[in-house]
Amino acid sequence: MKTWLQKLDREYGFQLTEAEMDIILNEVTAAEPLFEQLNAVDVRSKTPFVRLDVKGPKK
Amino acid sequence: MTESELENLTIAESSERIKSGELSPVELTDLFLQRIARLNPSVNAYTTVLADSARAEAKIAEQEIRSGNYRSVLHGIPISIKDNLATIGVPTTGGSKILADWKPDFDATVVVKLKAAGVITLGKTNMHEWALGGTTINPFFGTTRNPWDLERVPGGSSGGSAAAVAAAMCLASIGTDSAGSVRNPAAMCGIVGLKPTYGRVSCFGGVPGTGAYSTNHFGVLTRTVKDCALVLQEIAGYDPKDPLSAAEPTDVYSAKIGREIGYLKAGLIGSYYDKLMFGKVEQIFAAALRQLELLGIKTEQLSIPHMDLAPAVHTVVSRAELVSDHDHYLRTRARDYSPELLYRHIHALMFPAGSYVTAQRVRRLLAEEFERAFERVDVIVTPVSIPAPKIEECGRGVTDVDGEKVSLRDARGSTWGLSTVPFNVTGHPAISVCCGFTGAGQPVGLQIVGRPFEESTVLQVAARYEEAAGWYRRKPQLSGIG
Repeated sequence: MKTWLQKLDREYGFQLTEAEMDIILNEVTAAEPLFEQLNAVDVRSKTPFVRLDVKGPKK
Repeated sequence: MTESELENLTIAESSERIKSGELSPVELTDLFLQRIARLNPSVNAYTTVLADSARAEAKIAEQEIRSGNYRSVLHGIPISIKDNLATIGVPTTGGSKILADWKPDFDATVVVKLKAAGVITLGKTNMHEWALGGTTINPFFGTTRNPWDLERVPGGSSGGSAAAVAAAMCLASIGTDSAGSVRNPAAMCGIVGLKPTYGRVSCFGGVPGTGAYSTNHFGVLTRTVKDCALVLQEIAGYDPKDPLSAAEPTDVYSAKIGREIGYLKAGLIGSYYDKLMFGKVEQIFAAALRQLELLGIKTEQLSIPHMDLAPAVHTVVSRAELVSDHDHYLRTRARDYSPELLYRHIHALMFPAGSYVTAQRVRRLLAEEFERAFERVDVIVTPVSIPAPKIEECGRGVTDVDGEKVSLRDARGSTWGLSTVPFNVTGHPAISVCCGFTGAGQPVGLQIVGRPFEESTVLQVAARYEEAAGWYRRKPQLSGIG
């Protein structure tokens, strides 16, 4: 992850300090469970939800 | 009329008086400007006050009404606009340093519609930086203060709008809501905040990067539910300039206000919301449910099996979409973001692309679960759970709710957003209406959620509750300020 972050730093020209990289990498670690939760869901029959669908007449 | 009388004034009342000629838009506008001059140095609700143009608009409105050209119930009504809606020739900062000097050469569609309805625009309201946070502690434009306790935040990101309405510095405000940014500040300031159905109100002219494409909504903040319906009426509808706006016909949004609600059924999602109530909020929410039951509403617990995933879906979808909007400024002006927001965007650049699609597929699952739930009930009611923290508590990340310590953040984002983000994920219409006060005197919101495009039912239930409970009659004490 740190190598990836360093690559982004160079590409975007952020000039991140080591302390700033640590903050971001801590956020990356803290967010891992979010991705794990989502990846654990069986979405094989589901298409992405891109806009609200209205089905049937209003009550 | 005196300045203090503004505290009890509603759009519904003032529009009748304006139409009949009893109340002058010029006099009303002057009173609001006088009150803004007195209170804004302490509350900091407005970033730009448009005194001269507001007076000019009021004179035109008065002349038009006198000559029989009454445009709408909003004709001559003084309102404010959140500072992430484009307003022609007027600073539109998005709460950011980067856009601090931007004056658009066009109006947002909502602003165009409001102008056509004859409103008086008093100014632009402060907001969280880029609308990406819930405190309105803004490093560039200062902190907006909560009118109920100036040591507390008003919520956000539409904190300036909510504070302005609560402090009677306007009769209504337009905000935006991508994670609860209308409903949370409305709850924390004891007023009404409506996030309509996704696509119901055009988002054309919203500052890019201040709301994710999949979850953003423009909404309304007012002091009463009826006023909310009156404003929604003027801004709802399809807009060819916004490809995400809905073609669904609009409704007469105040038509069901005042009607009985005893034939309706409300769903509860205790498995999710019971964990989000702290201090006296649980008691306050229980009392609100009893009040609804006294009005005849039946309640039923609902099962939404993937509800706990709604915040994760929201975080992944919204942050990935937002960082795309910010790419140019991240490459050219990265250090003009607050450090917190810069780190958040850089983190989003590292999200796996497949996770974005997976999150949108889980979102489909959630939408289907809610669709089945709404076959059983007419509305869903929840708390808007966290009352306004003290400004100093936001820095520490922990607030005190009636003696209970509550963390304000985790990996999913802000704790207060957990109450509201599920309906940004699904797009259902949702309103917050005041349902009581904590031991520290801070307002708490009741969230009422409806089926897609059934804002009328949401407003009907909210209005009956509001009238029966009567919390809207309580006002913040601001007479000693300024």
